[in-house]
Order: sequence, then structure tokens, then C-alpha cells
Amino acid sequence: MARLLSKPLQGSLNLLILKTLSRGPLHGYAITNHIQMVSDDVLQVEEGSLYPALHRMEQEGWISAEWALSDNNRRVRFYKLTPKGKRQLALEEDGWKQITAAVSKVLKFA
Amino acid sequence: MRDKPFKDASDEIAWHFEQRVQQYMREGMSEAEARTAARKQMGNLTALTEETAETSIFIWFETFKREILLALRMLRRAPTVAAVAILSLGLGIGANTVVFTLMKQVVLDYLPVPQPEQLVILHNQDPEFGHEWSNGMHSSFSYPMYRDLNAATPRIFDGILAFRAIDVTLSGRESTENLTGGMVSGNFFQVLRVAPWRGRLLTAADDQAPGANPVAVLGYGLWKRSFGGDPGLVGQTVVVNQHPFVVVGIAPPQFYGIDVSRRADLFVPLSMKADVVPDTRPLSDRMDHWASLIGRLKPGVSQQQAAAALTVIYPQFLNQDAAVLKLSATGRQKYLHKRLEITEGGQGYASLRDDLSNPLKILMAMVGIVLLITIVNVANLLIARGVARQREMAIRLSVGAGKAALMRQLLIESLMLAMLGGCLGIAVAYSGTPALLHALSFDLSSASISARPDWHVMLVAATVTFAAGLIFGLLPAWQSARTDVGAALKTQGSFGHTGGGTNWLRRALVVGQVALSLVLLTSAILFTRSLQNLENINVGFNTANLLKFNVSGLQAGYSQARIKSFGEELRQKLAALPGVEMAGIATVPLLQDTDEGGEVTVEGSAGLKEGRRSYDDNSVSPDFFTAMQIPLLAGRQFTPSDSANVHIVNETFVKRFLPGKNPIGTHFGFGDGDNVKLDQTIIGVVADSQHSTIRSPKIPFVYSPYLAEPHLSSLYFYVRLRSNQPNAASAIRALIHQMDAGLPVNDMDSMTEVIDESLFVERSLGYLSIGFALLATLLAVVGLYGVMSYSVTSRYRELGIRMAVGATPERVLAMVLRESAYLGMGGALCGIPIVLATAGSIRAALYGVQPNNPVIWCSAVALLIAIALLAGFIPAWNAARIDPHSALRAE
Repeated sequence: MARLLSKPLQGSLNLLILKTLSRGPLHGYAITNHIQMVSDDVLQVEEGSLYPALHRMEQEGWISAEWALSDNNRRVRFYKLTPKGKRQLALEEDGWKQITAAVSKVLKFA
Repeated sequence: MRDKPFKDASDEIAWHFEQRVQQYMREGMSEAEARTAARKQMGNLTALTEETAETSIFIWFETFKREILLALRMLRRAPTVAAVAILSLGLGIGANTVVFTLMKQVVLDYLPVPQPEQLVILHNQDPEFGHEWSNGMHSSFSYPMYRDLNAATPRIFDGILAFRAIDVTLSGRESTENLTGGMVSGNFFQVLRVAPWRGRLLTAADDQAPGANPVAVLGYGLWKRSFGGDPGLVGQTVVVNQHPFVVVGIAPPQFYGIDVSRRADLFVPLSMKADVVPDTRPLSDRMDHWASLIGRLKPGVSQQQAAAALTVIYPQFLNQDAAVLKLSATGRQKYLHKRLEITEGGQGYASLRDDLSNPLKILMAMVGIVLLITIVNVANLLIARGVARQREMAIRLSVGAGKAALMRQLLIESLMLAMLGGCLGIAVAYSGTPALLHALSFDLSSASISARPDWHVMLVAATVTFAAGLIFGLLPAWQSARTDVGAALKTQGSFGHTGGGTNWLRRALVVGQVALSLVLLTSAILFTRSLQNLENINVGFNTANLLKFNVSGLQAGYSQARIKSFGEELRQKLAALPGVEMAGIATVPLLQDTDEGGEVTVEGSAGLKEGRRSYDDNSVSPDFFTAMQIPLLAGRQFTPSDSANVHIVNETFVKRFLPGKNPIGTHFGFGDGDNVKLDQTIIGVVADSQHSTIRSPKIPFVYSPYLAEPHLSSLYFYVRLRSNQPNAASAIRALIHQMDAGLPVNDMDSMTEVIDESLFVERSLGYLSIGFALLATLLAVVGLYGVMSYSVTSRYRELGIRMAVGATPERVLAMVLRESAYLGMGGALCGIPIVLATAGSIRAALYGVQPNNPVIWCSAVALLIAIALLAGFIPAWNAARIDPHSALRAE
């Protein structure tokens, strides 16, 4: 099966993460799993992109992070959407819709 | 700081790795296979950890940098505001740093010795009998009294030291140097706990038999300066006041003795007094008071306990004094009740501290007020800027910027301003401190005072800067955080105003500024008036065309007879010089803060209260009064053949002791008590003149014939010139050189220069206060102008309407001017209570003018209102020229 990696979709990685977190706090591994599962394995987020992105978004104030303990007493970092992140998500969703609409118009026309 | 992001990222990624391995194992892989697959999927874990962690750090720095850059860009966008703010802050902070640099060294610093807080100064109370040779401000003790006290108090003190500053002529290898030295007790360095830099310091063994130990310790500065830091100097001989001394050691670099304003460069034992001091009294003389005492309290002994113990010990030694004095029974009783007082001595002595501490405190208050005005001014500017930026702020708020972020941004901008101002201030301090010292005509070569602000001062300056930034930053930040987004965005154009509240705040700030300016303005007027009064004091003799100098016969090795014959010969030769009218000699210099005196008992004036019998004296030559042009009111002047018991007194003496009587021929005696012999005779009366300083109160004065004086050392010559004699000084030097080529001529100056010098503190205070008042007023004008022009701009439409319905330009002009005058008046009214409250603290620094004089503060108020009108004039003029048509069409 052809796999679209997140690399070409760098711009949309923020959108994917923000959207995923809008359902509730998750840790990094769960975010990759969620994106992969919901996209029927089409989108796979590489760890090499995910973590720097998460930390950058945290500094921007879109998401906040918190340490919690797992069942086997390990430190796990959970990410949560902030109000600022919610506004950012709305902006990015609009942007994405405009781009896809534009791209499909181009495709139909050809 | 750097480790935490790494630890976090590493934990997080390790956990992610474990999760992935477990999932692969659930999907059927063996553990080894799962690990390989996970590693393949995730790539280099270390690299990933680092990249993740660095993202956090990098972004943190980026945000910080971005905010600073943004702040700088904002400041650049309003360059005038930034320049005015930075400049005025720089001046304010700089002035404070300069004054504090001096204040710290002169008023606050302790001696550079271990545990200076244990040191206490011993004070002797009046009545004092016998000879007193003091430095002016602190009491002195006899050498036997010092030895007794030191020996009797081992349980209170870790030793008491004795010190006496002396003038020293050091005949070195090549040249002769005049410097300040110290005669010190043997335990001087031990009590201060100073360690030698080279060789050894003095010990108790050096201070035993009179004249037995010609040893000296050199100050580090002198050793470096005059001997090139030669380590071989220890053990060699130097010539001090014509006597050979062996250098036994060098004192450490920081050590300057016990007076920061008079650095001692050389130390010799007290026991060598006869070799270094032009005085023939023996060390064992209980009635010769000349040593200053400082004790080091034993650990655990409080000042009160020491004082109590001394009260018990002291009378037994006073008793020995009394035996020498042969006092009457009552006089003896009184004498034995004298107390020994002690005060904190950690700062040592400093004649400078006594002179400058009050003026420096006043100066510090002034520059503090200037800084406060500056801060208010900058706050005002920034609020005005905040109003101009209201739309910008509203836009940023509406696109989701938090209020906290906006306030932080504004605070960063203010702190950047403060920092730039602080840097400028420190530059001002570095160049300004030497300038201030120069303005105070302060001779650094003889004091141990540095013109460089040290790191303590810098720390204070930095703190002040930061605090200033916070103060003037918080007001505008708070103001802009209250921005109403909707209202600000709806307002179009530049004429709208939403800042009613802002305007209120700005007016309050301006009123405060004017109030503080009033304080400075009033003090400037007061100090100027005081200076004028001092400069116009009639000193009682003609100061014009009067030259003075002194020669020290004893330093040159002259006998008493030789000093007198030399004095008379020089006096006559001087009078014969072309261009010279007359020359006189005194043994105590005039107007140089020096006095000598005691108490008298005058025939028929027994009823006078105690404390009203003191007098000052001076021994003078024949023709002295003619040369000084002090009028002779009765009797005659001295002649060369006068004996020691004939005297000339001044008017105040006659008024106090002999009111309504003929003073000529009256007998009196020196001293106070029942058996004073009335063996002195008044032969003349002269008019009053100022003696010790130009502002000392009038005191009974007794002049004696110097030729009958048994202990002469320096002679002070006063030469009355015909007008305009520019070459007189060199002619006099040539004459003395011809008489004795080896005799140095000291301190040749005109009398007007002496008076100028004696007024240097008052003059500096006068000029500096004018400078600060001008600066403060200028800042107040800027503030007023800013508020008024904003007020006019924001009422553009209203004023236009008024004019459209018939208000004449004159009425509009008057209306705006009135508003400006009200602000000025309001400020002045708020300032008056401050002026009155601070009046007491400057009273001591004033001469002939009262600080709460209503005429003075009323004129300051009038001046400020006039200035307020001036500041309001341009805005008012603009208001009067508003064109009603365009005003109504605007918006």
C-alpha cells in the first residue's frame, strides 16, 4: 500500500496534531497511533517530526504539557490543547479547507 | 536550565520507544525483532532527543530575542520620545551615581581594617586647661593621659591607639617633598590589625624612651611614588623634618591612616615627637593636649559598658592633672567631674566628613528629586505614547494576544529604555565624578578618595535603573491593559480620544513634577541668597590687594631668637619693596579655620556666667593692624619693645567684659578660677574682624605681641600692596630667597583667594542647586507642554465648535492658558508643604536667610506659574488658530 509520509505534509502536521488533541489530552505515542488509525494507515507521523513539532507548539502556547504516571509508574508526558491552540486549530482548519478546495478546482479544470 | 529539556525529551522518547516495542510484540514479533523494528522506525534516538530538546531551548531564546527586537523597533519608531527619555534618565541616574560615589566614600565608608565596628573614638570634655594643639574637630589628650588610659583598660579594650597628623618634609634621594604624616603610638597598627606589606610595622617597643627610636613606616603610595617600590628601601635611612629615620617597613596599599580626607604617607612613633614637631613642650607634660585616641573594644564589650567602666577609671588620672594644675577647691571639683565620652569610630576621623556630610546629603536629596522628576516625565511620555498606540494595542488584542503578553511587551520596552538610560548614566558618572570633585575644588592628592565609582556604587545604580524602569513602565502598561478594544477600534483618525482617564493621570503626574520642581527652585534661590550674603560679609579688614604667605622657621631649624629677628627683618624689607605699603605678621592664620584661645578673668567682671568668658587670641607684629586696615579705636598698637603682658582687645571684648568703662589700662588674667592673677594689661582696642572663618560669630579677642611669645614656629605674613601689583609674589619670593635660600615659602595667595576657597562648599552648593533647579524646571516644562498639546489636540472638534458659535481666538487662547496656569498653580500648591517640611534640614547650610521665608517661596511659585504659562503658550496659540470649518469636517 502506498504510504503518504508526513514529511511532504509538514505544514499540515500542526493541524493533524491540534485536531487529534481537540478530543482530549494524549501522549505522543497515542497521537501517532490515532492519526495512523483514523487515516487507515495512510498517514504515518514520524517520531523525528512529531516531537520537535510538539515542543515547538508548546512554546507557541498552543498546547500545554503535563507529566503523569503510567500504570507501571513511568513518567509519561501528556499534551493538552490550550484556548490559544483552539483558535489556532480553527485558523488552520479554515486554511486547509481553502487549499483543498483550490486544489480540487484546479484538478477538475484540467 | 539546559539539562531539564534534555531529561524531559529523553524520558518521553524512551517511553515512546517502549510502547512501540510492546505493540510490535503484541503483533507477534519476538522482543529482539520488535526492538530492531522500533529502532528502524524511530531512527537515531539520541539525535531525536537532542533535536526535540533544542527546539524548546531555541524557541525560548527566539521568543526572548524577538521581544527585545520588537521593543527596540518600537523605540526606533518614536525616536524623539526614546531620545528624550534616555537622555533625561541618563542625566538623572548619572547625577545620582556621581553624588553617591562621593557620599559613600566621605560619609558611609568604614576604615579598611578588620572589624572596624569595634573601634570607638574617645572624647574629652571641657573644661580644659593648659595647651591644646588640636585638629579642630576632635578633642585631644596629653601623652601621659594616653599612657595611663591604655595601661588601665586591658579588660575593656584590645588596646587604645594614639594618633596625631603632622606636616612632614621628607628629604629623599633627589627631591624634597611636603606631605602629611602621622605620629602614632607603638600599638597603632596592632590595634587597627593592619599587616605589613614589606618589613615590619611599629610596635610598642618603638614607643618608649623619648627620642630613642628613630624608625618610620612608609605608606604604600609614597613608597611606590617616590621610591619606585624599591624593596631595598627597608633598612635604609630617610630624612624627616631634618632628622634621620630608618625605614622599618611599608604599610599595605589600602591603608591611609585614620582620616580618609587626609591620607598619612609616613608613620613615626609618638616618642619621636621632639624630632618631628616644631614644639618644645616635653612628652611628659600633662597639660599639653595633642593626641587623638581610638580604642578597639574587646569582643563582647558594648559601648555602654566601656563608657561606664571609663567613668570609674578616669577621675584618678584627672586627679593627677589637677595636682599639676594647682586648681582651687571648686575648680578642682568641677575638673574631676569631667567625663570621658566614647562614640563609634569605625569610620575614623574625617575633617571632610564634618564639612561635607551635610552638603552632600542635601545634594543627594536634590539629585534624588531630579531623578524622581525624570521618572515621572518618562512615565508621562510613555503614557502619551500608549495613547497613540491604542489602536495598535487593540488590534493585537483582537487577534488573540493576551493582556499579560501586551503588558510584558510594554514592560520590556520600558526596561530597555531604563537600561539604555542607565548605561548613559554610568558613562556620565565616570566622567562626571572627577568634574564634580574639581567643581568642589577638591584636592585628591592629599585625600584617599577615588573619583571612580566602585562596584558597590554600580550595583546601586543598576538597582535604581531597574526600579526606575519598573515604575515608569508599570503605569503605561497598566493603562494600556485597560484598553477597550471596541472603542479603540471604532475611533477613526487621529483626533479621537478615548483617554479621558489617561489625561487625568497625566495631569496628576505633571502636578507632581511641578511640585518637586518648586522644592528645587526654592532651595536654589535660598542657596544663592545665602552665597551672596556670605560673599558680602564685611570681614572687618580690607581684603583687596592683600597677599599672604607663611614661612616655618622651626622646620628650617631656626632658634626662637632667630625666628624673631628674621621676622622683623623680613617685615621691614617687605615694607621697603616698591609696590608694598605695609606688612604685618600673625602666628595664627586668618580665615583658615584655625583658632586658639582659652578663658579670661577680667577685673570687675566677676558676675559673668560660665561659658561667657572664653576668648580667641593671636600674636601679631607691630603695624599688623595698619597692614590689615583694622581700625584702632583707642590706645596704641604694639611696638617691638612690648612685654608679654600687654594686649590689644577687640570691641566685643570691651562690650562683654567692660561695658561702659574705659578699657585702656584695665587688668585681666588668663584662666578661670578663684586664684587667677590679674597681671595682664589692655593697651589698645581695635574694631571687630572675622578671624577663624568669615561666618563665625563675634567673640572677644585678645592680641598679644608676637616678639614676646616663647614658642614660635610658623609666621604668617600679610602684605598690603598698592593696587595692581601682578609681580608682587615673585618679588617677595626673590627677597626671601636672597635672605635664606633654604627657607621654603608656603601657601602664597591673595586674601580674596583665601575667602573664595573658604566658601567652596557654599559656592558649589549654590551653583549645583541652580543647575538642578533649571534641569527640573525644564523637565516640568516638557511635561506641561506635552499634556497641554495633547489636551488641545483631543479637543480639536470641541474648540472648533466653540469658535464656530462665536468664541474669539483670544478667548480660546486665554482658556487654554488658564488651564496650563491651573496645572502650574496646583503643582506649586502641592509643593509648598514639601518646601516647608524640608526647610529644617537645610537651615544649617544657610547663612543670613531663613528657609521658610515666604517671600522666597512665593517668588518661586510665581516663577513656576509664569513658566507654566510659557509652556502652555504654543498649544494655546495652536488652539486659537483652529479653523472652525476644517475642525467640523474632521472625522
